[in-house]
Amino acid sequence: MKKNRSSGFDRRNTINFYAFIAPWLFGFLVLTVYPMLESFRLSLTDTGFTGDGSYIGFANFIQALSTETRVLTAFKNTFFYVLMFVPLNLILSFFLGWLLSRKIKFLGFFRSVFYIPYLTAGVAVTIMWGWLFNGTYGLINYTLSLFGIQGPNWLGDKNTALICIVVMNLWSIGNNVLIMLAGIQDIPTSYYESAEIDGASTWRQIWSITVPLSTPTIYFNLVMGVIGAFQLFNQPYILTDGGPVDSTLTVSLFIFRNAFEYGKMGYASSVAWLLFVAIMVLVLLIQSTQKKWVFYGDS
Amino acid sequence: MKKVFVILLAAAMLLSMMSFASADEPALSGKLTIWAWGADAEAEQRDAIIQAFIKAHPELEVEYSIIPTADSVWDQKAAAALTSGSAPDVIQMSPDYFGMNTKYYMDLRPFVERDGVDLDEVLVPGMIEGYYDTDGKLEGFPMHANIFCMAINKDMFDEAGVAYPEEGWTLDDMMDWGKAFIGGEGANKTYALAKHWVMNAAMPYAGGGTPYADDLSECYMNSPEIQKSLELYQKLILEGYMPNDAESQAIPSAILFQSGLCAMYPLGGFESASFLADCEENGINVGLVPMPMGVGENAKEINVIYATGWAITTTAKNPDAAWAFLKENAYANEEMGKATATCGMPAGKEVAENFYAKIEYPGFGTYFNDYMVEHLAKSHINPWGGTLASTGDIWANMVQAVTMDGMSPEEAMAKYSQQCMDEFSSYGFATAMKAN
Repeated sequence: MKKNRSSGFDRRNTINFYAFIAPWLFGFLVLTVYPMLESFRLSLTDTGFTGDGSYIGFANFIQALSTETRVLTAFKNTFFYVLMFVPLNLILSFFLGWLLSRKIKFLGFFRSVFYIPYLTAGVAVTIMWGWLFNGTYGLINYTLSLFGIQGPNWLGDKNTALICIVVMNLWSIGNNVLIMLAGIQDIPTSYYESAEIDGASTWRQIWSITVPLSTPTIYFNLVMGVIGAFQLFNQPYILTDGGPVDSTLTVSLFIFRNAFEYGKMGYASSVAWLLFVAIMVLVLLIQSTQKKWVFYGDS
Repeated sequence: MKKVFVILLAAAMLLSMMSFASADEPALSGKLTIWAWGADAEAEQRDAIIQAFIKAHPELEVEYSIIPTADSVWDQKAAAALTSGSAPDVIQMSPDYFGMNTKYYMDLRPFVERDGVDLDEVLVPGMIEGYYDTDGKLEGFPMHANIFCMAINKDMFDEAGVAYPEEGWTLDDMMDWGKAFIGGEGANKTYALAKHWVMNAAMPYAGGGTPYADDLSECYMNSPEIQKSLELYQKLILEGYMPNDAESQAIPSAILFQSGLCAMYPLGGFESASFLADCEENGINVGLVPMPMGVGENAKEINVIYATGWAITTTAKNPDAAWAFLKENAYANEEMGKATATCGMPAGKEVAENFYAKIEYPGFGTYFNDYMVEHLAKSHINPWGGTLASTGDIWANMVQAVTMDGMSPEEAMAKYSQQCMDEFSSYGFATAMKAN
C-alpha cells in the first residue's frame, strides 16, 4: 500500500516535471536544436537564397579552409579582436567593479554612469562613435589638433579600424562591471579585516583576497566574453562594412553577407559551423584550465 | 420593325466580336495575391499602383502586402514563401536582385505572344532587356527604372570660372577643371564630386570597359579597362576630387552637396524630388547635366540602372489575372503608369514620354525626366546586384586598396582581379552561359 502511494507520488512528480519544462523544451527543440541540425544539413549542400541546392558533401568546408582567402581574413580579424577585447574587458571590468565596491561618495551615481552605456541602443552608440572617430570631422582628431597633433583616419585606416571597434565596445562593459561588483561584494569583509590587522596593503589585499575569490566571476565573464566577442557583428556592419580592405571583416559579418547578400546559404552555414567549432574548442580549453586557477568558496 | 431588326443584328455582331476578342484574352475572375516591397514613398507608390488596378478590375478580389526591405525582412519572407510553395501570384522582383535564373518565376513569353504585342513598341528602350534570364526566358516584367544625371552647384562653377559640363564629358576631363573645386580643411573641405553610393557600381565603366559580358558568359575584371577605372578612382580620391569612404560616411553625400561643399552630385531618379526641394531650401543653385562618359573609343556613359518589376510565380493560382496586373502596370493602364511615375520612370513608352517626361521641377523644366527617358538605353544594369554582389565586394576591396591602403592599381589588379574572376565563375549561370 505504501509502495503504491509512493509510486503514485513519483509518477505525479515526473508528470509535473515534464509539464513544467515542456514549454522550454519545446522552444529549445524547435528554435535551437532543429535550426542547428538544419544548418548542418545546409552546410553539406550548395543551397542558394531560394532554397535550391544539392548535396555536395564537405565541399563547402574544404573551400572555406583551403581556397577562400576571405574566410581566413575573417577568422584572423575575429581572433585578433578576441585577443584584444577579452583581456581588456576583464581587467577593466574587474578594476571598475572593485572601485565601485569601495565606500566612496556618490557611489550610486558612479554605478549608474558605468551601467548606462550598456543600456543605450547599440546602433545609436555605434553611429556616435563613428562620428567621434571620423578623421575629418571627428571630436577625437579635433582635440588632438588643439595640441598640434594630426590624428589618423581612425576608421579609414586598416591598422586602426579594428582597434577603434575594441575601444567602442569597451565603453559598454557595464554589465560585466556589475557582475564583477556582485562577485566582489560576495567576499566576506572579515577576510579584509584580518588582512588589515596583519598589516596587508590595499594592493596585497586585492592580489591575495579579491582576485582569488573573484575567480569564479572572472571565469564566467571570460567564457561569456569569448563567446560574445567571437560573434562581433554590429559595429563592423554599421560603421565600416568590413573595410577598409577587409580589415574589420569578422566571421559573423562574413556569414551574414554570404547568407543574405550573396544568397549562399549552404556556404554560410558551413562557415557558421566552423565558427561554432572554434568557439567550442576555445571554451573547452578555458574550461580545462579552470581547476588550476578558479577558486570556489568551498574548495 | 425593320429598324429593331437592324439594331438587334448590329448588337449580335458586336457581341460576337466581343466574344471573339475575349477568346484570346480570358475573362478575369477570382482572387489575385500580390507582394511588393518598399517603405515610405516607395510603399505609397506600390499602394497607388495596386489601388489603380483594383479600381480597374472590380471583378477581382485583390489581396496584397507591402513588405519592408530593412533588416532583410523582404529577403527572408520572399525566400521562405518561394521555397515553401506559398508565394503570392505576383511578386515584386528586380533584374539585378535574387530570383532570376531560378525555377520560381513563370516564363512570360507565352503571355506576350498570346497578346501579340510588340514590346519594343510599348516599352521604353532598355527597359525589358534585364528581365530575360540566361536561357532566354522572360522571368519578369518592368514596373519602373531609375538612372542618374549629374546635379551641379552652378554658383560654385561660376565662382571658379568653370564651364558647365556638356554631353560627352569624361572623368579624365574633370581632372583638369575639377581642381578648381578642391580646397579647405576639416569641416570646410570642398570637393569636386560627391561620393554617392552609386559610384562603386558606376566606376567599373569609367575606364571604357565593362566588368563582364552582357550575357554573363565572361568576366572582364582583369582587363586593362578595369585597371584604367581603378586608376581614375584612385586619382579622384587621393587628389581630393572626391571624399574617401571614411569621410563620406560622416556626412552623407547629398548633405555635402546641399551644404555647398561639393560641386557635383550624381542624382538618382528615385531621390530627385526630395533632393531638389532640399537644395532649394538650402539656397543651392542647382543645374542638371549628363553623367560623364567612360574614356576610350567604345566607352559608354558611366550610368547605372536600378530597375524594379514584377514576376508571376510558378505556383500562381490566377496567372491570367497576374499577367493582367503585370502588363497593365507596364503599359496598358494609364492610371497605373502615372502612379508608377512618382518613384521612377514608368516602363510604358506612352506614359514615360507623354506624362513622366513632362513632369516639371521648379527651375529645371522637364530636363530631368526627359533625360531619364533619353539616357536609359545608354546605361548599364547595376553590375553588382543580387548574386553578383560577392564579386562587387571584391571590387570594393580593390577600390579601398588603391584609395585607402596605398596600393597601386597594378598591385591591386594582381592581388584581386583573379579573385573576381574565380568568384564570377563560381556562379552557376556564368558556367552555363560559357558552355553555350
